[in-house]
Amino acid sequence: MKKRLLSLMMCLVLAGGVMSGCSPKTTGADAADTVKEAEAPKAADAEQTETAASDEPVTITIFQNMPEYTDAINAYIEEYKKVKPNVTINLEITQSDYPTMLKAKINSGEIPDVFATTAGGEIEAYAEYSYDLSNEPLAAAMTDAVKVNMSYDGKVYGFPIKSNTFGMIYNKELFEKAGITAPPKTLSELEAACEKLVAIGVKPFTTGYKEWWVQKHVFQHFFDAAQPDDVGGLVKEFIAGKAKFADYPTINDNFFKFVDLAVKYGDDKPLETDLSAEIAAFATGKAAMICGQGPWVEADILKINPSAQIGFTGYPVSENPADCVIIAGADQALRINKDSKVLKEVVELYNWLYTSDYGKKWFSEVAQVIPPIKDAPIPNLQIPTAMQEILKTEKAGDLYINYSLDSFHQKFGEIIQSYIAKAYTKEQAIKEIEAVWPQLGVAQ
Amino acid sequence: MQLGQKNKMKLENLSFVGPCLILVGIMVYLPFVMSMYYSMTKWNGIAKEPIFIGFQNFINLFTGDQNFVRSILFTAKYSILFIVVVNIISLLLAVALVKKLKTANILRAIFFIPYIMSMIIVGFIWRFIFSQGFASLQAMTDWGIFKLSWLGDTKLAFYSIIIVSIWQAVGFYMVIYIAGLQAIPDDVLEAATVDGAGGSYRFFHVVLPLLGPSITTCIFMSLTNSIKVFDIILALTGGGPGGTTYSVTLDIYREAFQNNNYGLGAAKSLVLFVIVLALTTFVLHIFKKKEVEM
Amino acid sequence: MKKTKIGLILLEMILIVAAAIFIYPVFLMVINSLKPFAEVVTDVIALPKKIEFQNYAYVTEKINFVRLFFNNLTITTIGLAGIILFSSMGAYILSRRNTKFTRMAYMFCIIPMLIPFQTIMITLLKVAKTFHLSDSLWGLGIQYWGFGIPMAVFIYNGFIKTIPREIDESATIDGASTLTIFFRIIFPLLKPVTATVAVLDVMWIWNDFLLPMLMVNSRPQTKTLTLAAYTFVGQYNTNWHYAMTAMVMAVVPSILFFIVMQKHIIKGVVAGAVKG
Repeated sequence: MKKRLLSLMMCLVLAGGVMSGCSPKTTGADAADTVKEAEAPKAADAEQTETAASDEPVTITIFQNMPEYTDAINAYIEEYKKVKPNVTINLEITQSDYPTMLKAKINSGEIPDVFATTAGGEIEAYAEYSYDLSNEPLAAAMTDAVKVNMSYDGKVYGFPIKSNTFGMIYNKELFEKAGITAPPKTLSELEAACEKLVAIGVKPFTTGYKEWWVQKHVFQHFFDAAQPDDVGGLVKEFIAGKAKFADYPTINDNFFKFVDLAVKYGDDKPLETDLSAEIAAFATGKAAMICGQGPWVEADILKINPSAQIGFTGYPVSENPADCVIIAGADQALRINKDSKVLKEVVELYNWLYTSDYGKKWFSEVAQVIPPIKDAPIPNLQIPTAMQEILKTEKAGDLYINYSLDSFHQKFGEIIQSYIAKAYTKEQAIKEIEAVWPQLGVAQ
Repeated sequence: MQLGQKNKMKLENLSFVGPCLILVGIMVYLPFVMSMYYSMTKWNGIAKEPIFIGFQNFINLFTGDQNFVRSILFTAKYSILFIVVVNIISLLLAVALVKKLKTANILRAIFFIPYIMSMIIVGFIWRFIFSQGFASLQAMTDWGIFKLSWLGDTKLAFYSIIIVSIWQAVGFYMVIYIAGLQAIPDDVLEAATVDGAGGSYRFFHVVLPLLGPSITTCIFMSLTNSIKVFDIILALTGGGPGGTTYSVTLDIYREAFQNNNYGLGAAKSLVLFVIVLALTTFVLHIFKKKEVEM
Repeated sequence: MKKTKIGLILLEMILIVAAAIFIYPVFLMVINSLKPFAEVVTDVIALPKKIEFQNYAYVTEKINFVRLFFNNLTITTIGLAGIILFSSMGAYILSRRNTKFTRMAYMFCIIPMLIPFQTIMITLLKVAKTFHLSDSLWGLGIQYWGFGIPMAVFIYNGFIKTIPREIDESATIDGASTLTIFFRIIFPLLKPVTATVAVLDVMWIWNDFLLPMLMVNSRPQTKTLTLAAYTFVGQYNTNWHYAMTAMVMAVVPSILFFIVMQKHIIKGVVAGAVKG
């Protein structure tokens, strides 16, 4: 198992190497640039401020999602004013219906200079609007895993503002109180743990099953275990309509077992529990485990309960403890409009964010996210620290969600909701998933 | 002279009516014709050029796409229930609130307030009530109805949407019925009372027939509004749980903007137009007939 | 006699209780907008421990309430002015002159009432871009002209027919031009029906969601109150206290408008509905 993962990582590293530039020369030059930038940021700053006076005032429009980082993004914008006073940045952040609005803008011809998409499939769908960043310093600064998530056809078309990780979040204190010494790694261990939690009067799970995206986050752990060597390849098989659930027991049986378990030991109204209800139930100690979330919930949990002891682990997906892994990578990308009138300034801005001293600190200290770049510290938060700890000894799983479009993931979430609502049997649910994957999995 | 007069008339016609024609033409007819074109293309809304595919979208719509048929059924079920219930409740309220009550004016205002709020906000308020408020109410009262999963159960979610829609609209229909009731001359009612007609007899045989125009209006309005239901569902359930609460309009929205099938979305929207057109003509036809009979 | 009096009191009591339950959700929205986050999460129905307006201060700054309010005002004013001017002028000719042209033009104007907005929303984006109407308050206001005219023409047309023709005929003999007759004589007579159109359109444009979302949602400078509340709830999904505050702020102008204009609104609704 470990060997397999190792070879996967090798592949990723190799792919990253290939993608970062056509020839080793360019890669070398990029690396040198990065070092130079990193070593002499002050000199660069001074230089830029000198030229700034004569620079024409320009306005950059950023239109992105992930409002939870609004304050952090405003902080780097503020800081960038000191570097380039002639640059005005218009920031628009929205979450609900972001894709609708982005398409409205594209169709009305008012494409923002910077916009956001998901990583993976959408990297391709929006490639004709995106600037190729392959030879920019920011591409060289990315970690290899992130670079793979941002690339299509060997070119880097995006960059994330955070690296992400997925796994199961649990309450350490409650686990201890219930006498659970180590987080469960197999499905039967999970069930035993649930029983112990019930015995001390705690609800084992809060599921968030009202949110369709919770399902894709959980499901990817099961899917990764189905064929860990080539997750993307297996997704392609499903999109081509060739693969069948029945051949892969972790998704055919274990995933549904897990859903049943989480419903049985979970919220009274599973399909009504949304993200905020989930956070509230977990933070107030009513529930011991959260489904389908990641590091982004930590701040909100601590807001309700500042002394929460948060644990982080992979999902038990089978009876083999080695299958229980966390997943790491980047699932969201920012893109630069290749027809932007201020293209040079935009690229400069993000090269700065990725390579300057301030930028390196920004990820862990200001935004408090896992940096998508090499040689930057991990933020001092419980989930990222736990992730770092785990990745010292284990390999992370592949980011399954990147291989299909969100239109599929949303339908997938709805189908599983129907299963939870008992409107579908397991067989009906699987049949429909197999049917919609070819329709919605890739851009047509 | 004669000719000049005629030309002047024509010029006046154009200058008075022209702005209306141009504006309606650009805002409604032009996009409508374009929708017809896009409904025959395969286009994801992102790529620069759509591909022409003839009537394939319409064929897919009724053969390959269960979602659309399901959303039509949902909208039909919703419309029927909404029209019946909202009219009954608002009529009852109107009958009660035309009586000489001290608080009648305040009460009317209270029932009307939800109607002046944006439907999106109404949806959000109720999402908050269902998901957060009911938990607290349950803790306080321990009543079974608060324990039910109003937005999470596929059957209940449908009724939740109905309840919220009625809550939002009932004041509007009530006001129309009140106006209708006030237009009934007092002596007609008195005459019926003198004749010894009891309360309920009087209501069904004297008041209700006289309310004919108001009832026509209310049924017609509730029909056109319920077919187009969109905002409330978007804010309340977003089509969930399990995609069971998609109305036709929400399905079109999802097809075009979330699933990236502009072409198919345009095809669906044309089918919706045909449905609305057929229904309205049918209903208007029936009412015209009735009015003649009266 | 006594019996009916007791009956009335009983009825009134029942109605008061019903109204209290009916309005309770709005009450909950208001009290939760006054609570800090922890109180909202732990108990929704409890009254706030102390009344604080810091949520309001926060949201006012975040969504730039004053600006949004004026955005709404701008859009509504532009939309309303155009709808009233063009529809009343158009309907005047359409109802007074009976020619092939006017009959066709009348049908052309009112048929769009049957076209659901969702049928055209996808392609409207392209049209709006071509005419430079997207992404601006003015542009959005102008788009409302096109969507508001059909119903307004319909209502005006019905009303103008009830005005005796002798009025404009005598003015014509006095030598007044059609334009003068319309603005000096007819338009003032249309006051009650103009009020109806105004009330219906203000409530529609002020609260509209889908069209502004497609047209002006991209920049904070052009958002509307409903949009801001919608995106705010989306953004601060987990922070119900701020979400409630944003919603109260979006709703308060409508409620104040209602209280001030109550009589006109109810009259307008009735008139509009009966005519429509």
